[in-house]
Amino acid sequence: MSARPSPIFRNVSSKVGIIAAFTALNLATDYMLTGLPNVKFMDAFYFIATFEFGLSVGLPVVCFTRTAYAIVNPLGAAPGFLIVFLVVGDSMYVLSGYLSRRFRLVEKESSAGDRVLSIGLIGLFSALGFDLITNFGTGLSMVGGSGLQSHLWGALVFGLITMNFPLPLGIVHEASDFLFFSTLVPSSLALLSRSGLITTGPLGRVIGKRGDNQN
Amino acid sequence: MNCRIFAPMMIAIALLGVFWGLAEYFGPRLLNIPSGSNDSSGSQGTANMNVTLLIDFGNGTKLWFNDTKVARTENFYTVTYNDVRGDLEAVWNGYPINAHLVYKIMGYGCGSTSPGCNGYWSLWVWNASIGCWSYSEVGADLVSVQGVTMVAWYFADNDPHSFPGNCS
Repeated sequence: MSARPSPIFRNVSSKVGIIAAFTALNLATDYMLTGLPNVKFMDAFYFIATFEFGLSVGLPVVCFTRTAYAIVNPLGAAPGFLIVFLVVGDSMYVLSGYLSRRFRLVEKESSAGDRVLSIGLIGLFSALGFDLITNFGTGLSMVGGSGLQSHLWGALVFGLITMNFPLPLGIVHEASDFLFFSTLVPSSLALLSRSGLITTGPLGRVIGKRGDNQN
Repeated sequence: MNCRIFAPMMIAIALLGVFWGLAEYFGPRLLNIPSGSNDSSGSQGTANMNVTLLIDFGNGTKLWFNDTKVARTENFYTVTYNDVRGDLEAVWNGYPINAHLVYKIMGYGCGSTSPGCNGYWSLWVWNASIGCWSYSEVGADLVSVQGVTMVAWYFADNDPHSFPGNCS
């Protein structure tokens, strides 16, 4: 299986700029969609950030976005321990973006329809991973247990049930991510490749305008 | 659609169906209990303060719980729970809502599975500066007694904004 290399940044400032831009984009759309719990463009942007610019952009974007949104949240600040689970959960999108790029998961599909569906499915399964991790984390704080094993088991069962009860927020999350990944992601990736921000040269894919100083 | 796409698609649909089924079946059995109150009467040695709770049943009946003494660390879910002595049907909803959904107060309201019953309880926070009730965008668990001294529960069949005295 041939691996696709990660892009190289021409300079540090372009990397910082891209991290800041994605973080701002995530936060703005999160606040915009506050009235629709678990419907987020942010997940797709995590994927795009990592797919196009690598882990060194995706992971900081997750840390900055999630920490800010968990603390300054119109629905109430998340408890400190839950922020850790949220960051780990959001890293599922970074992981899927990284693996999709590295192992050319999307490019293997022959038709455009299959590519769109496969990106949608990547979003759906990443959302499922996020939901399992964060609901398990919530369960840890909500259930008791006589021993460690029963505590962990109780938290897992609690998380699996509350994921879709009383409101099917887990399914809303997975369905919306499927929709956004299959529409927003392919078009954004196409736009990015045409923007001139990413150029292909002897070093491979390079981020930044030609003529910038290389660091 | 090739097999590499079709198989994950079927797995995804099956998984979502199983998770939904689990929640629908076990949710009401395991979680639909009058839950959530950690005993709140003056806990943790924090200074007490007075809060007021109104329960408006939407049919002309109003119940006031004036000047309930509570600890500063409390929220209005526990205040409600204690004022009605636990006669509350509510289900805790995890992230991102992080609050209880209240279905019945003192036996009045629509249960989580009550076909044909459409009304629901809404939460209103007293806005002292302009003297009217503001609709609460967050659940009672997230309304701290430190920031708010009076809240109201209002039951309405369709439009919660029919609540008398609201700011809009």
